[in-house]
Amino acid sequence: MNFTSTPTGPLGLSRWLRNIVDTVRTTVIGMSITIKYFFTKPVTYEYPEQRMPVAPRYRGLHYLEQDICIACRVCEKACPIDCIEIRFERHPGNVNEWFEFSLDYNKCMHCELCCYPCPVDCIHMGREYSLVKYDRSELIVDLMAWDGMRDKDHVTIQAAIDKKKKKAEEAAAKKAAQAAKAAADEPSAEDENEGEDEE
Amino acid sequence: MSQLTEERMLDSGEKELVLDVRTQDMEINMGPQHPATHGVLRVVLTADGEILTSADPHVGYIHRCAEKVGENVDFDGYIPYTDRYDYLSAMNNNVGFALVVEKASGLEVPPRATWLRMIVSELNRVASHLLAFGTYGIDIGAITPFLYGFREREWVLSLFEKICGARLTYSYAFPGGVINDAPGGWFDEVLKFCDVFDRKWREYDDLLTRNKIFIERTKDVGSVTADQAREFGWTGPCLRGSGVRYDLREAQPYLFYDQVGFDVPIGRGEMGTVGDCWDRYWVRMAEMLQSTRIVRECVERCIKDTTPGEVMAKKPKTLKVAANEAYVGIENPRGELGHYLVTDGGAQCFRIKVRGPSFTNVSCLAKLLPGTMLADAVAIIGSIDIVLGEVDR
Repeated sequence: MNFTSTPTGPLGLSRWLRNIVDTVRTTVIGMSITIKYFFTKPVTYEYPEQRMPVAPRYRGLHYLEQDICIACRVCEKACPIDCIEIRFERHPGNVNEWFEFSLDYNKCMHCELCCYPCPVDCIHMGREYSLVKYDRSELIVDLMAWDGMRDKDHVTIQAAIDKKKKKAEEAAAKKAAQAAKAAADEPSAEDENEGEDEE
Repeated sequence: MSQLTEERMLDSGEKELVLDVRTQDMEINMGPQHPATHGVLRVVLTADGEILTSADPHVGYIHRCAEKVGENVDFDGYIPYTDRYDYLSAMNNNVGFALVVEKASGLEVPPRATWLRMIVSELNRVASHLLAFGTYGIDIGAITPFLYGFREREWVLSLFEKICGARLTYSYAFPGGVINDAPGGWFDEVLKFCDVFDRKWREYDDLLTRNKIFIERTKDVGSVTADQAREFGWTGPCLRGSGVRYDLREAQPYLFYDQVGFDVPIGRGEMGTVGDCWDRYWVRMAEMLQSTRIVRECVERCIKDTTPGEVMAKKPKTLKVAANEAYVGIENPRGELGHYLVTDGGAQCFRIKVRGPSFTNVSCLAKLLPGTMLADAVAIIGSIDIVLGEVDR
């Protein structure tokens, strides 16, 4: 096995001249192509001032439609690197009190696997792509539009609690009525029992 | 430290003194941060003057345990990791892993998804070879072709951005199909790209391929015969550059490659010996034209034969594959990318083994570099076209 590069052989005058001619000729051909582009528009963008248009399906930074999110945690489970953190408490009336819905862009690899399984289609990947920050901790981005609950949520919860209470009261009243009815239907049996106890 | 050891007569009648000159070998660390090693490859070179006496490639600087990760995430969740082993041909990697899961699980893929996979695979091959072309020019000392190559590559990336939303790590082909159908007008733009690209390809030909300086740098450098290439375990353009007609798209057709017509370009020693750097480079250039030819045919068949929208097979939310094993090798831009999958009935791989082409191709450096000039080392490493993300995985 000989892996060395093969020698180029004796360099005669004719070959030497031909090499020079070929080099000049091919370089001129190359230069003529380059000079042609001198007169055309540049294809580059001056980035911070100009921005390339992004496609509609672009997978940029996430955004969350919190008002339709049902906190099912499907996106959290689908993420292959567990970069979504969700903390919430569920209150009566299907109201969620939000503590955290954050996304760690230190880890996120923009694969969009969190968006596909969402049953209500509330998490999307947006068109913003710049992730320039001064500190790594700033890359843990909060996606929530509001923290905790909104005013109308308190109303919903109160309504739900009232409704539940009313329902419970109704049920209790119904039960009491039933018990009273049952007591009225079988007074003799009770009397007998009482009599037995006395004995 | 020299002494006269011999005196001999030359054919011309002149006397020549042969000195026993003792020189010290010099160890040179090429890399890990060397622009010509295309990533974090470290080659420990021992040079006797300008001639290399030994070369020792060190790999493993960006090992990310991709195979182990596959045992801990579900099949869909592993697709983003396949993007990252050969980041210049992420579409091919996605397709390779999707195919092996489909083979193990028996999922039926809709024909439209298969055509779309072929289109994106071939476009990705063009993009990958354009980068190889541009960076090889830079390694040799020509900066202009790099800019021209990137101009067309950006167009391909914009096409990918339109179909899947990402420009480098696509996550497009999933087990069971592809994630999105092509948006309106996408096929027209792909055809337009193919037409424009074929014209631009002639520019590259004049600019770099036929340039005398470039030819002098690459011809007869790092020549590898067909037998040697087989011994190295080479696949892809490197093997075909040595004159072996072996292309997995032709030898073991996957997807619908048996239904389209294309040639397999091989190195013929046009400028020097068969299997030199120029031949390996030339095979890549010629493959780009074949890729656009395949893309045209695929677009035609995709529009004619299939119905829009059917791109994903019906599959359960969490795909579970019964105990089985499968191997699928696909033709990556750099060679055979093989996935060997063992499943045990769970939602994860029991074991996934990846056979990366770059890892096999880079192993030749210890044999190929000794005896060449130091400047040729850059030309040889560049002509093998390795991606270190895949060497280490």
